Amino acid sequence: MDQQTIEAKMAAQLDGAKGSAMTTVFAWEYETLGLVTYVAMRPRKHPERRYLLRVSFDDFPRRAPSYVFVDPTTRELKDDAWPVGVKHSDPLSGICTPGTREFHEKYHLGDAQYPWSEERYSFLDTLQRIHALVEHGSP
Amino acid sequence: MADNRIHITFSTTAGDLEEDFPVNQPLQSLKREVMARLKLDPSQAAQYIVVLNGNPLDESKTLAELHIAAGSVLTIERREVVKV
Repeated sequence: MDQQTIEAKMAAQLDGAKGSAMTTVFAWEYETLGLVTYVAMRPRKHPERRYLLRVSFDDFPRRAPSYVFVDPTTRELKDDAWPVGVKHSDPLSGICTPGTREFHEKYHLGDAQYPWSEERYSFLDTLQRIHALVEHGSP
Repeated sequence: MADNRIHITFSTTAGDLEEDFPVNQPLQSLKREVMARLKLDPSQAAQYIVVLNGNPLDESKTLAELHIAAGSVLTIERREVVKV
């Protein structure tokens, strides 16, 4: 798939999320650089905690986007950038929830219950799942 | 609040629904109605909760009993946070 098509499909996913009232409710903040979008997340009951999610859309929609938490300042991969209880580390750091590349290609590779689908697992749907995990680990 | 209805928004990952909703209808039936209109399977309604400001709402109560204010945004979120 050519770069223009990937960018157009990524933009459609971003527009769907940005246009949702959930973006306001969850106070998500977006910044896009090429095929990477950063999403700042804060648990609703602990808004003083800020986590930065890096979403990579390379090879989308053939493959699911990759979702990892990075340091909010340096944007580098760091263990303490992850919310409590969210990081799955075997065999690589990622988020074990449907819609993430790490889920479909590593943790549940070949799991017929969860085939990757851009329609079934939209960017907005995956953000909401991840936000729930972030809040679940932040009682 | 006019005609026993209140203007609020339900937000789901399948879309938003903003309009006047009856204040005397239990939230659980409103949830099913909203899910059906947004093409979410209402038979799966038990798998979802209705949340306001991060707090799950008692779905046996009505909007009036819950003191939901006009302009509120209620999210319909998955009940289970499952790491599978």
